[in-house]
Amino acid sequence: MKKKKEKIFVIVAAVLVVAVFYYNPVESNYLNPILENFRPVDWDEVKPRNIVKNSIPITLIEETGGKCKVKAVTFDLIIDHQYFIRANDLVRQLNYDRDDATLMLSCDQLKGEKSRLHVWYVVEESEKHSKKYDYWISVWNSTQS
Amino acid sequence: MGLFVFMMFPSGMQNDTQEGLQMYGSATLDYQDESGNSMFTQTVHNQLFDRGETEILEQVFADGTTATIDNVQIASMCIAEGTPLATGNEDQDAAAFVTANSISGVETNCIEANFTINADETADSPANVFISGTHLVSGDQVTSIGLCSGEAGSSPHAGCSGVLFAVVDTSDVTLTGTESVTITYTFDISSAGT
Repeated sequence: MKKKKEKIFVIVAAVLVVAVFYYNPVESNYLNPILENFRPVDWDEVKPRNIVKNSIPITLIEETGGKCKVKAVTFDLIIDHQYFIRANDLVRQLNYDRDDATLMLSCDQLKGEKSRLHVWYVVEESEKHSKKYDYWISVWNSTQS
Repeated sequence: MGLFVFMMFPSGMQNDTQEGLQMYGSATLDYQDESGNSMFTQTVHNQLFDRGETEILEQVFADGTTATIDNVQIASMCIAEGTPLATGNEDQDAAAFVTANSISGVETNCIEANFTINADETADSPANVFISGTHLVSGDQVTSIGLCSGEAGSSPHAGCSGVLFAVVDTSDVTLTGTESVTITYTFDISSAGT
């Protein structure tokens, strides 16, 4: 009987957790800041003044088994800015070699021999998505910044 | 379980995108090599300084003194090298900006031009082009941008005088040969929902 009660308790607790994650009825509650850490950046939720936008050209050097090494001679201008708190995370994510100014990317991300790498990040003092970043690649002649 | 229930209670914390007046400036910098190829673009917000905020109030509200005329309103964009003026120390002035600026060829580090005032409550500078060998010496770095008072139509000109309105801390871009940076500044005073 005791075991049955424990099972019911666990099931009810699990249902509550799922309900909280999905429905979250109150916009501002104590749970949101915790949940936000696990959500990707929603750029519409961040004030424009709290977003730093960067883009650089990247050029394919070599391809090995679906992984592409690209030249990114000005990538340091993005990661060395003092506002980019989590720059080291991006450096690791893209396997940046500062000496050679190269990055490693999945080849299916590239848009040709030359592409445009965009990196946006949120400044630390933002109330929403603080210090988060995202990157994507577009066609080189895209004018989107 | 009680903890989860508690965490669902409203916290009273504000959303970041609340309606109302917003006031901020940002600069977009485009670094180009000698062939005009874009090597790096960046859009970053500014820090408004106290004197700049006062300037806004003085222009809008009558205080018994003569309104500032066009040739000393905010019209100059100045590039600087060295540590940008400190965040949180907003009472620094134009003289401090000049002192902190280690750019060589300092005689022509500022470009003056009229802003465009838009119907969406923004003001845009023109695209000002700073060229290595002309506005700064080859090998100098652009580490920040200052928005300052005009100098009666003289452009390019030296330093930053009058009012230091805002400073933008950019990435440190070194220019050599005839490389250039094209910089535009936008000031937004729009208010959503009001």
